[in-house]
Order: sequence, then C-alpha cells, then structure tokens
Amino acid sequence: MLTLDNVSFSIGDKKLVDNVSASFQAGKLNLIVGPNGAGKSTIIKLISGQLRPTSGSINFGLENSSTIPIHQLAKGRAVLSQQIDLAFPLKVWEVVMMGRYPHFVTQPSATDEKACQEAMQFFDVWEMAKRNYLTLSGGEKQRVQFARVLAQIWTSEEGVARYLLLDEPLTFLDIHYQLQFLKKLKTLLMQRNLTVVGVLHDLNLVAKYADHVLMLHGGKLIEQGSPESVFTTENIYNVFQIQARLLEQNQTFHLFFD
Amino acid sequence: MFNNHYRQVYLILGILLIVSFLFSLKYGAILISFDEIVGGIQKSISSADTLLLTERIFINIRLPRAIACLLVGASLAMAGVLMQALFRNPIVEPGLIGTSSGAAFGASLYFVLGAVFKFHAGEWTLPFAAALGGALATVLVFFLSFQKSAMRRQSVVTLLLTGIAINALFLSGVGLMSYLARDPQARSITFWNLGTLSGVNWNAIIFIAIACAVCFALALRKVKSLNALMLGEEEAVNIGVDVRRLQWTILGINVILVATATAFVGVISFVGLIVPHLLRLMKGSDNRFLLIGSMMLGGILLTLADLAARLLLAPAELPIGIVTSVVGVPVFIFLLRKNQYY
Repeated sequence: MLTLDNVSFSIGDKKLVDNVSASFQAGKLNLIVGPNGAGKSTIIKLISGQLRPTSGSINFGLENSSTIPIHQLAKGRAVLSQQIDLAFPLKVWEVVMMGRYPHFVTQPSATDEKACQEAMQFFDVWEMAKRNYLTLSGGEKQRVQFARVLAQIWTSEEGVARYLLLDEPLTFLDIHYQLQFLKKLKTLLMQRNLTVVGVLHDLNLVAKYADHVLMLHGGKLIEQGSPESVFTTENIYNVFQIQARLLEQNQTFHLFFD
Repeated sequence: MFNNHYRQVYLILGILLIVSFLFSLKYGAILISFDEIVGGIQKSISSADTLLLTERIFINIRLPRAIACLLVGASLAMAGVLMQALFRNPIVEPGLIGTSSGAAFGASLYFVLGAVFKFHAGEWTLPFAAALGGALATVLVFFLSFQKSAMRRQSVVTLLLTGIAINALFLSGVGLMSYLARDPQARSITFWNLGTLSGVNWNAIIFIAIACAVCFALALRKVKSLNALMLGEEEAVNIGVDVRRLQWTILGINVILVATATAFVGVISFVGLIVPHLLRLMKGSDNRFLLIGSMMLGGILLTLADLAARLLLAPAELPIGIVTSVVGVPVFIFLLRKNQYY
C-alpha cells in the first residue's frame, strides 16, 4: 500500500500540491484527474522521488520514501511517462534491459533476461528485439517503453511490494493502443498485485478502467472514491467548468460534454 | 538474443593496435630495425651502458613516444565517450568544460613569464602550469554553472553554455600571451597549442598511465548509469541512478584525463570527438563497449597520426594537432552527412 500523509509541495510562494492525503491499494488501478495545472504530474513526481515534498510524507508500505535511497527505490518502483527519444542508437532489447539495471551489477542474470523476454512478448515487441530503437514508429517506441518499465518490476523478491506510476503514458497513442494498454495493465496489476497510481487525461478511459479516482483542482484534493461517486455533473462542472451528461450502459458509464 | 558479440571488434582493434604500435617503433627520422629494437630492450634490461646509438634512440625517445601515443589517445577518446554520454550529445568533445583551453592558457603564461623572469624551470614546471590552468578553468565552469534547485541534478545545458563562455575567455588569454610573446616563445605557444609528443619521457608516461588506468577503472563502474542517461535525466532517476553524483564523478574523471594528457603533450583536438562516433558506427552505443573500444581505437589513431606527423616532413616534424584536425574534420563531416541516427 502507498500512502500520502498531508503532502504539500511549493515553489516559492506557489503551492502546487496543497495538503493531499490519500492511500492506494495494491491490485487496484488508481487514477488522478483534474484540469491542467491541478498538480497531477507533480504528485507523480513526488511519489517517484523526482521531487521532495515541502511538507508531509509519502510512504511505501511502512517506509517513508525520503529514507529510501534511489537505487533501492528503483527495485520495486517503476515510472511510465510520455514518449521517450534516445540520444544515441540502441537496439530494442538494450532499451528494455535498462529496466533491469537496478537488479544487477555488471552482467544481467538469467532472471533478468527472462523478465525482459516475457515483458517484450507481453507487449508484442519481441519480434523487433534486434531493431534500432530510433527507427521505430511512435506507437512501437511507446510499447518498447512499456516493456522496459514493466520489466523493471516484472519479478521481485518474495513479499516485496511493487509500485507502478503512470505519467500520461497514453498521450501520443491512438485509441486502439490506449485500450489495449489499459486492458493489459489491468491483467498485469491483478496477476502481480501491483500498486498502480497514474494520471490519464481522457475522462472516459478513467471512468471505464479506474478502480479508484482522485479529483484534483488547484493542488487540492476535491473528491476521491469510485468513478461513479467522483464523476458527478456537479464535480465535473466545478473542476473543469464544463457541463457533462452521464450515460450508463453495460455496467460502465460515459461522459458527454455540451 | 541478449548479447552483442563484441569480441570480434575487440580482436580486430587489438590486431590493429599491435601493428600500428610496431610501425611507430620502427619508422621515424631514422629507421630502426627489429634486431636493434630487440637488442635495445635486452640490453637495457640487463645493463644500460653498452647501448649503441640507435638502441639508445629507441629506448629513450622512440619507445616512450610510442607508448605515450597509446596512453594519450586512450585518455582523450575515453574522455570523449564519457562527455558525450553525460551531455547526451554526439558533438561534445572533452575540452568543452574548459579543461584544455585552461591548460593552454597555463602553458602560454608559463612560456611568456618564463622568458620575462628568466627562471630556469625543471621538467615538471610546464606540465604543472598547464594542469593548474586546466583545473582552474574547469573549477570556474563548475562554480559558475552550479544552481541550487529542487531537482536532484545539475542542468547540463547551463554547464555546456558556461563551458563555451569560459573556453572563449581562456582562448583569448592564449591569444594575448601569443601577442605579448617574443619570437621563440610565440613559436613554443603555437607548437604547444597544436600538440606534440616529441618531449615525452618515461616519467611523463608513468604519470599518464596511472591517470588513465585509475580513470578507466572508475568509469567502468559507471557504464550502466551512463546508458540509463540516454533515456533522459528524469528516466535515469526512475531506474535508480543518482544523476547528480554521476555528473560530478564523470566530470571529475574527465578533468583528470584531459588535464594529465594535455599537460604533457599539448592540445590535441578531434580524437575525443571522432573515436566514439566510429565505434558507434561499428557496433552500437553501449557505453561499456564504447569505453573499452575507445581506449584501443584512440591509441591506434593517435599512433598513426603521430607517425604521419613524424614522416611527412622528416626529419622535421609537424605538430600532431594539425594531422588530427586535417584527418578528423573530413571524417567528421562525412559522418554527419552519412548518418541519420540523430
């Protein structure tokens, strides 16, 4: 379990995250929504260790994140972000193997190679393992990154919790890959009991796939709970200043905007 | 699947290294036969005073020079790999953060002041002045580019731009010294700024060898972190790299490599820039391969360049920096135009 206790983060006088408390369960997809500038990405960066909270604490299980060294943190916590370009040409498998870097010193073990292979097969990039990453299309590159990031937390020592953070990873993907990724992610997080916290922009995707939703506005937590309880026309109007209609269909619901 | 088979490349580079080394022992202002080489080595191991003239030339001049080529080439090429990886930029070269222009200024200042005050310096004064200048310029770049920020790292762009500014400052310092200098000193400054391996002796070699070996051992432990940096600094943190510590370590190694090499042989350009590129074309960008390969290829190229510098105008000598630039520039332009990987 991942918990935030009264976490705030400010730059100068500006509070980007204002006294947010939340807890995220393992095996669940926890998604954060809110308008631009609400502090969503800042929260992901605080959890990932890129930024340190100005006050409050972030706990991985019982451990305060500020006491965990970065190389230790990386063994059980992976971050998936927007499209990444490389500075130099590398083969696809070399990129994926970077996900295993926290787990070996000089040479990858058989476990590391197996994790890479399985993660690549899971995201359908095994066939392009020997290709130059820089020659791939945008969608292919992002699938390689999925494989790299998941390879990082593919296996762990017995009883060690694993965390996955998503920082708008679907931004440049078409709708086919967006849906495919979320389906695969759901399978994985249940199989492997991952704690997943992420930011997605598309409210309908959030409504369809999230188990737990946090709604942020101006750095403050407005509401959290199931998608049904958070996505009310009133909340959406308050946060996004748009009128939405909700339509329930086949145990899921859709948002329409006027 | 998870293997790149680097052995073949290492084997080819190893053979080239030995061949070019043997050539550089044999050819020069005078031709030395392999009998004389073997004789010189055997005699100097047993007792040194019975050496013939050519044997003495071999032991005291030719051999240290050939070894120095290998070591300096390895140092500069390795520094190039490290800096390109750190800045995630293929057109960065090791002198970028001020080290070599600072060293050039230190050496120029020594030539001018030495002539003015007529102090008779020992063999270590020039290298010391150069290394001091190099270290000073680099510390200045670090100091001016340092920023306190919430992020756990240094901005490489600030570092790069500060480096360019400080380089310009110290190069104008070199210009001023050449302007003030009388004729023989001005010639020394020019010659030193283009690099020469003619003054290298055994003491210098021991010094460069230690620096090279220590830096290689340190850098080898950082290859995974440097690979991770290819994804960007933020992603590197996500896979467990302490980016700020990595930056300081790599910059420190670079200063030691460049300052040591430059202090003894002057400014030699393009080796640090070209060698990593050639290796990337051969096999890819993994930094462990680049680091090991660059030590070999850097040594080979500098040995060949020095051979050319010695032979083209024999018995006179060209500054080696002219050879490396004349060969390096077209190769570099060719690579830029041919290669689409950026």
